[in-house]
Amino acid sequence: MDGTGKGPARSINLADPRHIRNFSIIAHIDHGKSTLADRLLELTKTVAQRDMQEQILDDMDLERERGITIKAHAVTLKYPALDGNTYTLNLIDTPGHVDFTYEVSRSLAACEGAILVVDSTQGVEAQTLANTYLALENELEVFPVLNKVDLPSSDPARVLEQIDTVIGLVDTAHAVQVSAKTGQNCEAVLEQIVKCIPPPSGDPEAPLQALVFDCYYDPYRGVVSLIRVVNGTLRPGETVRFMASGGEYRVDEVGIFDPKMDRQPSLSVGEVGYLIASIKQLADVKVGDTVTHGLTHNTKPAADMLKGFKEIQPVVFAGIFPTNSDDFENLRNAMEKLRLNDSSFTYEPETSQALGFGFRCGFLGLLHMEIVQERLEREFDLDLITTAPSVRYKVHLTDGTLGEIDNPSRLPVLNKIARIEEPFIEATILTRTDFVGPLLKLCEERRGLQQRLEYVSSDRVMIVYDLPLNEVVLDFYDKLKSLSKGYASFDYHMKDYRESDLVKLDILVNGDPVDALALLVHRSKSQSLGLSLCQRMKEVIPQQLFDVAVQAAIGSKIIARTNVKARRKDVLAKCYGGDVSRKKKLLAKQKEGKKRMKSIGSVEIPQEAFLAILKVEN
Amino acid sequence: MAAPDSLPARLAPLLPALREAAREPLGLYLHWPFCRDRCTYCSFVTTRDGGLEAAVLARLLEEIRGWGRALGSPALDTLYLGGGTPSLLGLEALGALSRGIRAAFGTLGLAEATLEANPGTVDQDWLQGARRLGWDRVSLGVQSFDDALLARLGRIHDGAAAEQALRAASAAGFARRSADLILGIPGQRLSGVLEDAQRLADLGVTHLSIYMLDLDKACPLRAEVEAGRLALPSEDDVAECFEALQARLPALGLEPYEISNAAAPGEHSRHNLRYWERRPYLGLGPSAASHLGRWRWTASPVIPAWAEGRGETELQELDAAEELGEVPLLGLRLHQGVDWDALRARAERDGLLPLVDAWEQNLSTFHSQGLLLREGPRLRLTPRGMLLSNPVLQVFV
Repeated sequence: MDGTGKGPARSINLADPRHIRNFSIIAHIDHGKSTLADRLLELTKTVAQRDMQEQILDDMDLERERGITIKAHAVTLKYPALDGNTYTLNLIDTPGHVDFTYEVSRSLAACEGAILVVDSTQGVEAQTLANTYLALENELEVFPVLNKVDLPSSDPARVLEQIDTVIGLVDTAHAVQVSAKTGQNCEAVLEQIVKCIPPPSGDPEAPLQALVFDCYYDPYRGVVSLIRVVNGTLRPGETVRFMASGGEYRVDEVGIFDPKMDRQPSLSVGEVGYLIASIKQLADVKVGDTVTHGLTHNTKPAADMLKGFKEIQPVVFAGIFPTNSDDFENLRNAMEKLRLNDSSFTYEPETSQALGFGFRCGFLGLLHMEIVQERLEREFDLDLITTAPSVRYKVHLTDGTLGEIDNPSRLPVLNKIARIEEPFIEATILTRTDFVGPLLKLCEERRGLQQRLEYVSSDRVMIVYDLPLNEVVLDFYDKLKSLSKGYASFDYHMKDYRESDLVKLDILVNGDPVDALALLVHRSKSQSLGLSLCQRMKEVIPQQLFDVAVQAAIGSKIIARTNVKARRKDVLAKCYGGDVSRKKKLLAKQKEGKKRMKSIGSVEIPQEAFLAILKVEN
Repeated sequence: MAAPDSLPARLAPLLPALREAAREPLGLYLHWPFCRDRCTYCSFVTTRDGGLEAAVLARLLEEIRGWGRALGSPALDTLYLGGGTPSLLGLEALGALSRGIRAAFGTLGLAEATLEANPGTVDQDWLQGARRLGWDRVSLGVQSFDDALLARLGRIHDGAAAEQALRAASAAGFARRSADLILGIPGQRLSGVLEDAQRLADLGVTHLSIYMLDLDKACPLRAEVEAGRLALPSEDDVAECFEALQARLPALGLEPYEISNAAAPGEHSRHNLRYWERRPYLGLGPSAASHLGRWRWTASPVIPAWAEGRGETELQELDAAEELGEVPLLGLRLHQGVDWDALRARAERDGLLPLVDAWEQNLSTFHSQGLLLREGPRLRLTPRGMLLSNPVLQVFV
């Protein structure tokens, strides 16, 4: 999006809501959502074929590389349907990952319908399932599109059967079979959108209510809010109020994405587009908020917000520290800048005895954490140490007060703790029948409580477990993938807090506890975890010039111990003759390797050590 | 004076300064890159393609002539012909090189002329011929006397051939004989190493180089290790072996004087000493390194390109701080260490005292860990520090 929006306003009539269709595409990673979206853009000549950039909707580098959509986007298509009318189709793209469920739900709330894209060579996946349920909860009309039917391994009948069994509420009779890659039958999708998905309803004369389903920061224009008008009409120059966050602003511009920003004289009932109002900070706009008019001589605010708004809360926490402590200010600047276009991550300064000055950060989930860390390193060229992810615990103290703790090293001393509650999620796993055994074992090992186990077709099983989130943030997903050879998909949502027998596991290096390595673990697993953690630390801590003792302790009790023996030989004793440059290069390379390590006391500890818990047999 | 054609174009503008630096007697290193077979651990620039020999020889002669002229026939005090396998050179070619050197450089003050030779490629006639050409020191790649280990290393000779070569060198009049030993060979035992050292001492070697097998580059031996077909001894085992050997050497009449080298009294390698003491040397041949004045350069390692004079020379100009840093970086490898007072004086002259202060601060931990020792004006590594010298030397890069 070029963000200029300077073109002359198009003098088109307000779209007749009867000729508007608002829809989303629900799909699992790699099932072809972006490719199908590209075909729809081409077919409606929204983008000339020669301007097509593969997968136009994913425009952040990371999104392209990971093949996922991180942020939502919207685009308006004009489709001359077979009935002779030209329809305005608003495609609202949704993030495709479990960490962004709330954003997905708001994007879906802006639609009347959704296309459920399923790879006909694969089948229904957990993520698709979760998002389809979200769509149905939002009372969307959903029809299936079976993709990749050009491939020999395609089996549409089997996949339709799965959809019937698992979801049931989706009308499989109107499934469209396509190949988004070749373009085969993609026009039928457009026709089906017009026929299947109901037009928006709403009152253009009622007080304004528009749903903010996404927003992003444009360095030249400030915050751009993506909105769907539910009631009323919005025009530039008017005063608007964001009902949840409370801000009032004068509207500079409204418009649609076609797919570039195209300014419009107004947005009215059922229309999807953008709103620019000189908003400085992304944190001032909340996804799910309702935009209404300010109270003026000719406008009045709506009485109620649209339903479904939630303050989003981070659920996964980790410390992020600069490897080189001189980089602290650079890291602070980077975090400030990053938050300009990702207000869902939180950070506050933190001091660790071991790692020095850094930040405690909150994320929507594990992927979100990885993305933030990667962006910090990549876009701001920082060397970072990230501590093992943690969750937010509720700690009831003996004096009756309740504290929330997301950093295990901050846990009060044992005798002050009455009880600890930890967050549980409900996890849904879809997999092939042959992997059920190992996956059930994994869930049980991770203290899971089985809720459901259902065969969704002869070879696919849906497993639903209540799991402690702290077991899931530690390597659960990688384990799931490897146990199922990649044939398992996973989705979760936060469920509740439950009391658990949790203890703080400290890791001591040469006798001193390293705060950044502390963990909260279930008492039943503390012994074995302590042992494997010590073993793992022994593998990742390089030999030093002296012996290094690594111990695991609960309170003052040492439960495991290993020793990294002192290095005896680190020497260039090879015939280099007069080739001094080569010798220097080798030494410089060694030295560079050490810079990426953190000195704790006099022990040099590499980044892997702080994430050792992720790699131990849990 | 215009630069002769044979000099890399990049060096031509530096000639006046290089000539100035060459007023001090130089060391000359020649690289003969041919081998009969490639050892399984080798990472040097070598080839088995004998078809290039004539071209390399011609080019070497041309460079000798050209550099002699360009630097104004500078005096040499050490000479070293290495490889590869210089003992594969016929006596005629060796004679041509020797005469070329005498014609181009001042060799009256030549104090040492070392020939590298491989057992299995030398006989008494050749050694006698070489001795008559003026070469007075021979360095033999013995590596081990254990035939199974030699086979593992892909050496072309057995232990008996190595012994034969040492005896032949002695008979041919080479009073100064050096041998190489390698530690850390898969399957090698400490007892074997000590026996090898004893046998070398019995054969009267005056110098010993002890290298540790280091498979830092891709080579067949590394592939074997990575495939799990061979196991390298542990670092601890190699360290133990090294320490035991170091302790034994004085009794054999060989005193360690550098991390990897030991010698009978007065028999240290003068040519190699200049590397560690940062005195000037000129290296000719593919991949050969030179150091003259503030400049250091390395010839192209691509043999045909070098032979045709179109290889890429890697040139580096050192600033005062880098030069100063190299004094301890190289000098600490020597058992005598570095005259730290002199280093400070030099730093003061060059306005680099803050740099030396920073080094001292970084070195303090190594003092307390028993790796470094200050004795009067000199700073030196302890025996343990020798084996753990990398972390210490990293302070200076």
